[in-house]
Formats: sequence, C-alpha cells, structure tokens
Amino acid sequence: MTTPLQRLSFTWQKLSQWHEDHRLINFSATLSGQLLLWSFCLLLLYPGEYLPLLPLMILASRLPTHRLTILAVGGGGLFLWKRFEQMHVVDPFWIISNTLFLIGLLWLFFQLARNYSSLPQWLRNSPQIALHGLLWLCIATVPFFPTDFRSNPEQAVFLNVSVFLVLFSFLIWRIGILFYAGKRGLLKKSSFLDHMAYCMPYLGSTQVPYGKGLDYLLAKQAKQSPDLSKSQLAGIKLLLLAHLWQALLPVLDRFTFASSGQTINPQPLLVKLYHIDSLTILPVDQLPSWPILWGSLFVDMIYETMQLAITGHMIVGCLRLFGFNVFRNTYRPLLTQTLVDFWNQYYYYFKELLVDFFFFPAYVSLFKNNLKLRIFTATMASACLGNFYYHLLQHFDVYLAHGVNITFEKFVSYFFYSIVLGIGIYLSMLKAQQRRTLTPPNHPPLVANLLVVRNIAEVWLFFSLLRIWDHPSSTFLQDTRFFFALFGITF
Amino acid sequence: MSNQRESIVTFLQTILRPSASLDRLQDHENLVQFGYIDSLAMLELVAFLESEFAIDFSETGVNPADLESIDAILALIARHHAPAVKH
Repeated sequence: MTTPLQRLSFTWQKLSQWHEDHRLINFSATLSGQLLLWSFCLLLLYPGEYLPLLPLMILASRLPTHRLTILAVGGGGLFLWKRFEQMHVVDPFWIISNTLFLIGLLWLFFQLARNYSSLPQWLRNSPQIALHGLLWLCIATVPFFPTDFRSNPEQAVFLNVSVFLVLFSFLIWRIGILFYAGKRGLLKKSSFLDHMAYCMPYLGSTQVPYGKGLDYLLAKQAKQSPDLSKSQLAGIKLLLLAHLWQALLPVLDRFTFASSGQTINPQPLLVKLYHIDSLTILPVDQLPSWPILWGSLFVDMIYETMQLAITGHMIVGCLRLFGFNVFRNTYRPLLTQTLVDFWNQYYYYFKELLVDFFFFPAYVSLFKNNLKLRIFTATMASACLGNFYYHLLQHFDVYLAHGVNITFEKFVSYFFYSIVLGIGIYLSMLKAQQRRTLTPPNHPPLVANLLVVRNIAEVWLFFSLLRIWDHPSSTFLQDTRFFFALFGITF
Repeated sequence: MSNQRESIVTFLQTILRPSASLDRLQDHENLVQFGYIDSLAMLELVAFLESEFAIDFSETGVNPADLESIDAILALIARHHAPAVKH
C-alpha cells in the first residue's frame, strides 16, 4: 500500500519527466509536432543571444546526417561574430584575416593531432604540456610589445598577435581535446569540419567545452527519429528551466537583496541580505549582524547556482535541440549529500575538463601502488592545481586588455580556495569509498530523512563558506577576516 | 574471453553500489549511467585493469568510454593485448 507522500512523489516524478512521455515524443516527430516545437523554441529563445541558432537547429533537424557540419559552420560563424563584436572589431579585412588565421591555426593543430603517431617521441609523451608550453612562450612576448600597440595603427601587427593570443588561450582546452582524439587514433575517420563543432563553440560559451569532444558528441547524438524528438524535448525542458530560474532571480533580488550589481534596493520586501562580494570588501566594524551575514552566505550561494544553471541550461538545451542529447551542466547540486557529488553536479563540464586534463593523467602516472595516495594526488592535481591554472588562464585576456599585473595578491585567495576544495573533495571521496563497502544502515524513515537533511546542510555549509575566497573583488586578508567575522572573531 | 569476463564481473561485484545487483546486467549496458557503479569506482576499475590485465594507461590515457560497459572493457583488453600491426 502506498502512502500519500509516495503517491505525491510518484506524481511529481511523472510530471517532471514529461519530456520522456512516449505519446509526446511520437507527436513531436510529426509535422504539426515539429511546427509546434519550433514555434515554442522561438518563444523561448526570443530575443536572447541564442536566437540566431534557431534556423540552424531547424536545418539540422531536417538534415540529421549533416548535423555536425551545420553546428560547425553555423555555430562557428556565430562564435566568431560574437567574439569580434566583444573585441569591438569592425574592419572587414581585419575580421577576415583573423578568421582565416584562426581556422588555419586550428587546421594546423588538427593535422598535428591526426598524424599523432608520426610526431617526435618527446611530443607524444607530453602533448598537453607541450601545447601549454607553446602558449606560455607566446604570452611571454607580451611585455616586449610597444606600450601604445592598442591605439597606434602602425603597431597593428602587435594588436593582431594579442587577439591571436586571446583566441589561442580561449581555444587551448579544445585543441587539447583534439590531441587526445589523435592519441586515441580517432581522427583518421573524421574530418576537420567535424571537429569545428566543439572547437568553434556557439554563442556565449566559455573556455569550458560543453559537450566535450567529437567522440562524446557522436556517442550522444540522436540516431533515429524518436531519439531526435526525445533530445529536442529534453532541450525544451532545459530552456524552460532556464527561464524559470531567470524569472526567479529578480524575485530573490526584490525580496532579499539590498543591492544587486548596479541596482540598489534599499528596502527589500522580506529581509535585507547582501551578495558576498559586497560584504568581503567592507571593514569588519561595518558588517551587518550575524543572522544577516549567515543568511547572505547561503542565499548568495543559491543565487549564484541559479545563475550558473541558467547559462548551462541554455547551452546544453541548444545542443539537445541540435540533436546531441548530452548531460546537463548543472543538475540539482543543492540537493546533493556529499561534496564530491556537489562538485560533479554543480558545473559538470568544467569538472570533466579537470578530470580529463589533470585527474586521469596524474592518476595513471603517479603512486600506482598506493590507491589512497594515488587518489589524493590526482584530486589535488585536478581540483586544486588544474582548477587554479584554468582560472589563471581564463583571466589572461583581461590582463592583456587592461594591463593589470598578475600579482600574488590577486590570485592568492583563489589558490587557497583551490587547496581547500581539493582536500574537501578527497576526504569526501574517501568517505564515499568507505560507505560503499559497508552495509547501509536500516534507519526508520524519519531518521533517514533527517540524516539526508543533515548531509545536505553540511554540503551547503562547506561550499558557502568556501565561496568567500572565490571573489576577485577582495584580497585574501579581507576574505579571511570576513570568514572569522562570521564566527564573531574580528581582527 | 569468458575468463576475462568472469574476472571483470567478479571485480565489479566488489565495487557495486549497495543498491545495485549484476544479475540483470547486460554486457553492453553503461555501468555508470545505469547506476551499477559510481565514478569513484571507475578509479578502482582502472587500478584493477592495470594489475590484472597489465594495461598501462599512462601510455594511452584513460578514456571513460573504454570503461563504460563490460563489452567496452573487454574490447579495451583485447586492443591492449593484440599484437602490434606494422603499416
């Protein structure tokens, strides 16, 4: 006999999985279903930055065998348009020459990766290190540029080099994926254009390759018509979720936050909370009361998670509408019960990047006879060093554009963040490993539910506190002072 | 091949999620996606393949797709133990 709670849970499960309903899947595969689906998409994408992708998605659904090419050419074109627009580049000659240069560069790396077995042994031993070494060699030339290269037309060559460096640092992880594919012999059967689908990502993406490399995209792409409809409906669901969170953010702002970005809200309707980056820069004696501090800590984490989910849902939703039914980037991280699960579900594709480029290489190379030490080293290599290095590289274009010196003070907070994150995840992994070998305790339902709540609260506490050191606006000392102030210790 | 399969299944029993059972597992089914093992158990699987089948992942790197099912693991073992072909 089922309890009302179980019935409610079953109904919710069924409602939330509406996109997997067979009748709906079959209907959406029909002409009228497709018309409805794309009309709905138009509503969901209008007037956002992803709207230009809509004709490409429709074309891809009509020509499924050319899906990758459409994504590569169309998405690549939109990517370049967006990047050049951000850089305020208007000269057509400049745009064409840089585009050709960029594609030429990617083609060169593609050829290198394709002929991986013919590369010199030293390069085959450490292709990723060689790739990043090359980037840093290029970056090392920047201090020798003329100081007026951004404004002096006679120094255009240096401006071109700086744009190339920004694009190279943006694409480096994708070029790394090309090398991995070459190492595994996967490039012999694919064309250059196939790989452009992820090398030249469409609008709004970051250095993180959503949908990873070609082999992952191919494994997840819809093979038959029902698979495509299923993928498209799953995409619609993510776009809807993104809109839901997008609608909730201003509500949170209106009810709880005293300020948000440039907007000042002197009297929120419910409680006067603050975003953490605006609190860490305040002198300790100007901080609000403890309940406000702790409330701000948790609500700001929810707020930022929603922001991340919106970005990821839009990108993954579009990929699904193209017919690549890839995993979500953010999947209920605030309901996870362990740190490692949170890390896995908060920003999936960033975690995957760190796993591919740092975790596994360390895991298969070091301390093979000691599993715990092996996992520790690999975890620190990814969650700590890799994470820190990724962010160092991510902000490179900002330094290039604004001439800000990369100082120890600027990055020490994030380095501390990375160390604590690495240790936290390692301990959580050990705990999960131990738990797997034990018989699960047979608690009464109430106790079991309370334990779930306790586990979730622990995860919230860890990550909301850790986020204090994840804001570029404040220094390590300011962040640390704020942390102690939360416990009534001031200095 | 059947010995290899048996050896893999025996090992999988030791790293299974507490709620999972291999009784209905089909060789092509995705071990992580179908909830048989978690991603942490994949690490133990790598260590097992290194020690039991002498696979050196430091040469090829770890491709999670090679570990996603019993079929994929058997194919990985076969690839590593196949005699090198000269072109």
